[in-house]
Amino acid sequence: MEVSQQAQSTTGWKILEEDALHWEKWGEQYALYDALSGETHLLPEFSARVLQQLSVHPRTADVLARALCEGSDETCEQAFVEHVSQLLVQLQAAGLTEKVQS
Amino acid sequence: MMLAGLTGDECRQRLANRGLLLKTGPFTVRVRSDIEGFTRLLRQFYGQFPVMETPAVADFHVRVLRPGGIRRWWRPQVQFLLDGQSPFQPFQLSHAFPLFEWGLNWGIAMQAHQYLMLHSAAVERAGKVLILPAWPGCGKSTLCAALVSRGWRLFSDEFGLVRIDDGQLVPLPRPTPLKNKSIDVIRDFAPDATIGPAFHGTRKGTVAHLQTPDASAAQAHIPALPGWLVFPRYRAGATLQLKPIDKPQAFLKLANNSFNYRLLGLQGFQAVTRLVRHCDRYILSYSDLDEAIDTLNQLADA
Repeated sequence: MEVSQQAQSTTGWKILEEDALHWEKWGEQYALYDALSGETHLLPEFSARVLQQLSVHPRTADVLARALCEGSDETCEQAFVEHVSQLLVQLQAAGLTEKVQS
Repeated sequence: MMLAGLTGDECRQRLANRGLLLKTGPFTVRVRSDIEGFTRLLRQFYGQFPVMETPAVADFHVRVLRPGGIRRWWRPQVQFLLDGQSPFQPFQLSHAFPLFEWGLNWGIAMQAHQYLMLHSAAVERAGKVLILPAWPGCGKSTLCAALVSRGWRLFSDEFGLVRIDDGQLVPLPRPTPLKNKSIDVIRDFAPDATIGPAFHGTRKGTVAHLQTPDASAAQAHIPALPGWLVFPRYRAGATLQLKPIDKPQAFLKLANNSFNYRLLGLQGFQAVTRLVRHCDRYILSYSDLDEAIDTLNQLADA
C-alpha cells in the first residue's frame, strides 16, 4: 500500500531501546552496538544525530527535521523532511527505529 | 619445573598415564599420548615451558593417540581428542605433532571466551604489542617469525588474546608453523633459528615448526598493552607501503577478524573499540622481509 508523503511525515518514530545502544564516536563517524540485536552498525554523523534526537522522545519526521534544522541558517525545506523520512525507513530496516502506533 | 627438566622416561610415563600438565601462556593443557615421535617433538618444542605437578586444574584435556583396529598396523593413523571428543578426522601417524598444534588452536578458539580472540600474530617491543591481524595467505606467520628472529618478543603466531577487563594482550607463545615456501624463506632469513622436521602432505601443504625463543617462553606470563595494529598483506614483488587507516576502517577489519566478537556481545564491542582508540593503525603491503622489519622497527622506535 502506498503511503502519501503527508502521511509519512505525520507518522511517529522512536528508537527501539535506548539503553541497548552503545556508541563510539570517531570524527564524523560513529560505531553503534545494539545489545538488543547483537548487531554493530557504522553510521555517518547525520544518522547518529537522528537516532540521538529520537532518544529524547518519539517524533514525526516533520518535527525531527525541524529539530535538526535548529541553530542552522537554512530553512527546513520539504525536501529535507523527505530525506529524513527516507532515512528513518532505512534505520527501521536496520532494526534501529520503529513506527509509533497512533 | 620446565619440561626439559624431565627425563625422557619421566615425560613418557606422565604422557602415558595421568597426563603431562603443560603450561602454555595462560592455559594449562593436560596431554596424554603414547606415540614416541610425538613425545620427542613435544619435548623439543615445549622444553622451555613449565610443567605443573598434579593435582592441577587443566583448561584443556588433550589425547593424541593411535586409533584401534586395523589402523594400528595398516597405514597407521593418529587421532586428536579434546575433552574426550574427536573434532577432526585422523591424520597419518607421522603428523601427530602438527595435529596436536592445530587441535589445540581449535580448542582455544572454541573455548577461550574470557578473551577477545583475534586471528592475528602478536609481538612485543619496548613494552608495547604489535598486533598483526590477518586471514591465511597474508604472510602473517612469516612476518611474525622474521620479527621474532630480529628480537621482538613472541606473543603468538595465531592468537591475539585481549583481556576483557583491562585491554592487555596476553602472551601465548608456541611453535610457529611455517608453511611451504615460508620454511626456506625463514631458513635463509634466520639461519640460527631452530626449525623442526618438515611434514609433507598436510591439509596446508608442507609444514615445519619454528622453535619459540627462550626469552619469549620465559616471559610468557607477562602481558602488555597494545601499541600498533598493522594489517599485513604479502604480495610478491610489491613495493613496501605502510598506509595509515582511519578508526572506522580498522574497527571493521578487526571485528571481522575476531574469532568471537559477536559471541562476546557488548564486551566484544568495547574491547575492539578500545583497541582502535589506543593503537596506531596501518595496512602494510610488502614483499621484502628486511624492508618490512626495518619499517616496523622504525614504527616502534618513533
